[in-house]
Amino acid sequence: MRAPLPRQFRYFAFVVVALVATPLVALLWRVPWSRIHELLREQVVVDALILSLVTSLIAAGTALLLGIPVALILSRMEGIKASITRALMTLPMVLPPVVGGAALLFAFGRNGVLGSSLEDVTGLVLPYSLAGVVLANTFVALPFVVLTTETALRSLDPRFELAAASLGANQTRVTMQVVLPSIKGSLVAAGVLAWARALGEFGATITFAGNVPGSTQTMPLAVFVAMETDQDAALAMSVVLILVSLTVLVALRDRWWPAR
Amino acid sequence: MPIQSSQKGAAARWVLLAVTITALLLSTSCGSPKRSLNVFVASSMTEFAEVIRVDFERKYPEIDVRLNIAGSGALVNQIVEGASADLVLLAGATHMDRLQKDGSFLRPVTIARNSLTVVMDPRIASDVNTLADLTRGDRRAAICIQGAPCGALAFAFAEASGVDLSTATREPNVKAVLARVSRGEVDFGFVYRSDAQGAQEEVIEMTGTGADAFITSYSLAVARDGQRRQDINAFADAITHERAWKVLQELGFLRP
Repeated sequence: MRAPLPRQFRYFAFVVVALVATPLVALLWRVPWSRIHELLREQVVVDALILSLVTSLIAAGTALLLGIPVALILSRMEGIKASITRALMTLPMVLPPVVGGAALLFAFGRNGVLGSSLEDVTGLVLPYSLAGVVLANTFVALPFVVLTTETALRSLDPRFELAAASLGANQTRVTMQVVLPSIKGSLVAAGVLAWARALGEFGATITFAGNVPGSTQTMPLAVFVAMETDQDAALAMSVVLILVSLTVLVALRDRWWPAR
Repeated sequence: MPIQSSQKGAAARWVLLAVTITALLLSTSCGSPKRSLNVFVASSMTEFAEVIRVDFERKYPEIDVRLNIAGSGALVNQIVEGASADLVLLAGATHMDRLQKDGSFLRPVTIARNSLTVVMDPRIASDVNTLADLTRGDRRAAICIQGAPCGALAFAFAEASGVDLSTATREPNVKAVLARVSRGEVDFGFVYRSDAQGAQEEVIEMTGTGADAFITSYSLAVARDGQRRQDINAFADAITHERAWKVLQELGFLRP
């Protein structure tokens, strides 16, 4: 039971929710529903959908693998060093994605600082490849994992891990069996937020990985291209993106939100 | 506690300072009551439009020319969806036709033409003599998206000459294609002659490909809206003037 809120808040909230819903409804209004099946069966669309799902899932997994250790360390850091590290890890979230993509290009592009030696040694060229899309997606999704996980770790009661350690559990065991399981909810949240960010990623992907149908053209890129040639196809793909995202968020029953 | 609250006070002062500076900057930049003209320009005409804008604003200091530069298809989409444009400079006939259907623009005039060309990274130039050499090995190409006139032209040419473009990256406009080639991120790309001419130092233009038979024309349409007729006509005159043609010619465009 909570104390009642001023009534005006309810009207205000209603207006804001309606404002967010309006463009989505307007988009659904314009969708050529009678042709949607045939539009979604086109090869370009199928390729883009599969590519988007695959790359966003790999990127979310990679972001978790890379982000959790950083968050663990960061949650024990204090002072200016912590602030600088945190700011650096948050930057890809705040930067315009195009800038992130350009930065990746200067690092991992064919003429990039690391990219050219990578090509010489392994023959691997990241731009225009699926790996390049995953890299771009991971780059922008990583901050969501680090921030969400660190927040959860900082609010964790230290007595549990201290108790486990005093009972003889080694550092690895404390981390893997006590600390991480007790923030499971937040880790799921971090993964979902990272996945959502990766699924919608556009700027860094087109700048770094290019726009090659079948290998780097993800759904957002395909929608962008279709807006200039076949608007109906763009709308059909947008519907799929909205449905997939909404389904996942609803299916998780708010478990994706760190506060719960 | 008192220490913390004074820190908060300091932070608040910094925020206030930042807001004040931003407000001052904004107020100086839009303080004078200038009239404005919204000019939508196909990206291959970027340099041309910039030259005309600078000249025009020198002649009419009271008019502020705002250039909106994008692929022709994107520009028409913006207008159809309600963006306000006073003058529109487009490449290709399809998008101009689409704009004409919208009904808010007067009949267009053709102001120039441009032909397609192939540009390549200087590093591969010594190994490439024919079109077939381009696609040898795992060379990578950049091309405009089909919705942009440069893309429609390039895809038509590639089909006619048997160049495989399945692994080419599709860029939103011709400047993006040129940038990919000149930064060495792809080996070759399809751009307009005017773009190749402007980037002679970074890319090498391939000759004798037959791409020059693929030509697009640029047309100018002005808004029907009568309110700013004088300003609009003045800018249209600047674009169609003989002096403007000289600029176009220097940039590598062809006579209409």
